[in-house]
Amino acid sequence: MERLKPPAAGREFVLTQADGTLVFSQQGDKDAEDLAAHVTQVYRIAAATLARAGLGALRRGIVQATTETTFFRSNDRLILALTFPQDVKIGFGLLETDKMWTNSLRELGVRA
Amino acid sequence: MSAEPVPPGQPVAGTAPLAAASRSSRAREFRRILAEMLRIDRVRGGLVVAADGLVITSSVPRNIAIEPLAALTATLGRELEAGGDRLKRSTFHTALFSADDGTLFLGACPVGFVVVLGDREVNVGLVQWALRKALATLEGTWGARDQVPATPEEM
Repeated sequence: MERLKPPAAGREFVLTQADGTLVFSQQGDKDAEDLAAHVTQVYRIAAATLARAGLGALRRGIVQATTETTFFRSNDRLILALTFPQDVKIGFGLLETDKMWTNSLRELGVRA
Repeated sequence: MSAEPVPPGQPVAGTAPLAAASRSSRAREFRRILAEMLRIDRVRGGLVVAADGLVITSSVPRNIAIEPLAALTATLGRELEAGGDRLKRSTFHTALFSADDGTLFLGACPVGFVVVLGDREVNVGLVQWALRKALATLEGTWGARDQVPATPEEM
């Protein structure tokens, strides 16, 4: 997992399987498990909502809170979440998330 | 002379018409906000839901069942709020989730959540900006006002 170093501005990074199994995280064990559980839960509900709205499979997400912005990327098996301070430029966040996503897939030997 | 206490649930004499007028004006405000969102090119629909999933107002394509969509969006919004609390994060404001055929936008407001559905060509920045403006209007009516940039480009 050498290539999975988040950008300097990134606060949190977590990679999980769609079933909630933690693949990689920067945080300590307990924090990482809690974060992975939340990310997986958001992914599941968002995917179900998009399907119900007839929009297809979930690919990306951006969640903005008062002091942080979290970017999601996902496919049928993996979910990546990368958190930045709230004032991050959306384009920068998307670009860094895409880089982390590509590196994660490469590390895991998964085709995009 | 002291007034007779009013039993819980009973309207106080003289206040019922005012309360009804206020509810009516709020309902109009929700419909107006939703109508503005629907004017944006490539927006397919939208709804305002209470935190418990009750539909306050909606306009979605006929092939989409409103009640299940409202329940799911409220569940999603509550998870974003509750998860933030569990993880000691700051307050959730807005989210978007993109899929193969479109994007769902979600914003937290004092009465629940505002939801907008766009197709795959929708201008994401414009909808985000309009949504934040709508949320600020609602917060102006019910609570603290959010900071809204002057233009979508400043987001």
